[in-house]
Amino acid sequence: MGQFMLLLHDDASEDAELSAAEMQDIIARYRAWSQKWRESGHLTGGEKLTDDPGRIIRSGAQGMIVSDGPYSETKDVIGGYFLIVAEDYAAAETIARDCPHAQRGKPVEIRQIHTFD
Amino acid sequence: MVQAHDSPAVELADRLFRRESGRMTAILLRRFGPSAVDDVEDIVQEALLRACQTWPWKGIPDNPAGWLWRVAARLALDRLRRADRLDMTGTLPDVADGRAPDDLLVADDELRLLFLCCDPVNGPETAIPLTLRLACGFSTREIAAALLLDEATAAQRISRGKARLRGLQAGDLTALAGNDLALRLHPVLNTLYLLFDGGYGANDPTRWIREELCVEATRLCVLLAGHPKTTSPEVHALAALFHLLTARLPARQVREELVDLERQDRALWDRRLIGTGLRHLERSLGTAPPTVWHLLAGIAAEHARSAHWRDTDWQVILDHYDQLVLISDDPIVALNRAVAVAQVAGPVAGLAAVPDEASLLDYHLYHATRARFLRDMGRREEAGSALRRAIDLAPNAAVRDHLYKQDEVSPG
Repeated sequence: MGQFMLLLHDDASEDAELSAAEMQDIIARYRAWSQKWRESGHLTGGEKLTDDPGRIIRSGAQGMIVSDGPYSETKDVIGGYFLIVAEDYAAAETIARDCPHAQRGKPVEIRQIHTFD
Repeated sequence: MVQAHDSPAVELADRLFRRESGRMTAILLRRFGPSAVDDVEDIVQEALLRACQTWPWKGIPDNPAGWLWRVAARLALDRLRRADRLDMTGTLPDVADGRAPDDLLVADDELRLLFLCCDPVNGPETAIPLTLRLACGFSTREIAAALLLDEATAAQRISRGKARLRGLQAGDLTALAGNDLALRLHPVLNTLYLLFDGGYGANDPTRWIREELCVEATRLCVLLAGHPKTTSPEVHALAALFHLLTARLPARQVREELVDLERQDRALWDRRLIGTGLRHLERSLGTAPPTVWHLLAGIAAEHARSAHWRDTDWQVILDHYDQLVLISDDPIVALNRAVAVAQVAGPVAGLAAVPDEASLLDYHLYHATRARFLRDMGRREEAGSALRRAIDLAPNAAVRDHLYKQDEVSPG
């Protein structure tokens, strides 16, 4: 068993045109997805991140430089993450594919968390 | 943490977002005046969007409508602050504690919005999209799909309607609450009927029932029927008609197939809706002469009471149609009367009762009805050519397939 992180890449401006019915449907789909995978023991946690681009610190010749980022535009930020346990990448992929975020055509990045024996 | 506090008991009511979108729009428009329609739409959209971005993570709140309203009120306050109009915060008194506003007051606001959208100056081609947008929370894309318009046309009609709203003063909205409300009721009922008919009819080339239009028209009609200012026998009659027809939807489309009234499995009819429809029909009875809605609802009720097409009391239905043709010059009503005539007096009488109307010549059911009578009279050749004409004119594949099945005429 491995631990994985699902990073939800998001462009919130895509959501501006959603209709009332579509938004209600999205909530229902997230609810069904998280209930299903939590009850099966695969989904262990997750947090929503704020929509701003955040800050990034880089060190250069003049020392530390703080700027907006790491995403230069507000498009494509990490909107949130889920923590899951799964057999391997293939199993993690199954859970990610099923996620409403991916089903809405938004990218989901899957990374395995390094565990030290 | 994802949905850590989600209480499994909270489920979102069916179509909650659409309903609350209409309610929030109505309340805010009343407070800020129709000229603020764009701001109001932005606020409502933003409130729903925040729910959409928050609830998947935090779970659905115990009082979803109250949550939405609290966010909308806060967004409204922000706008007032930015516009330096804090003197207007007093217009939001019932929201400060975050509870959803009182139902009857909301119903008042919803009525005003509905009357505003259905104002006769708009005409149905603007009134219907505008109602769907502001009172029912449909997006432009959904409106275009529901009304079979391309998106640009739908957008144009909505913005035409909104431009008119922007020109109104807050006082114009308050005036709507006056005694002339009842006088302005008729165009509203007509708009709701057209809205319903658009959902119930079979004009969509791909999908011929758009149940959501029937549901919204029924909801708004029930609002009118339940409000002391607008309730009337006529409104109850229309509410009865909507419920009785909606009750048949589960039997009207089975898988992709259209099933006509004669062949419908009546066990699939929604008994609860029929019960509600019959109660509205009771309340529609009065001393005034029956309206078109009364007679149409009476016909629908007679079908609802009959266990089968065969057991239908066609004389009662024909009596209703005889009264209908006196007050309605709709040739489709006359065509439907011919079906009742044929059931009571045979196909020869039915064929004679088919109206001689140029406007019906392009209507598939005109030819299908004639084909049926001709076949029953044994005039098979004429029946065949009438049915082929009906098939040529059918608006979509479901109707076409249905017509093929009506007779031995095979495709091709």
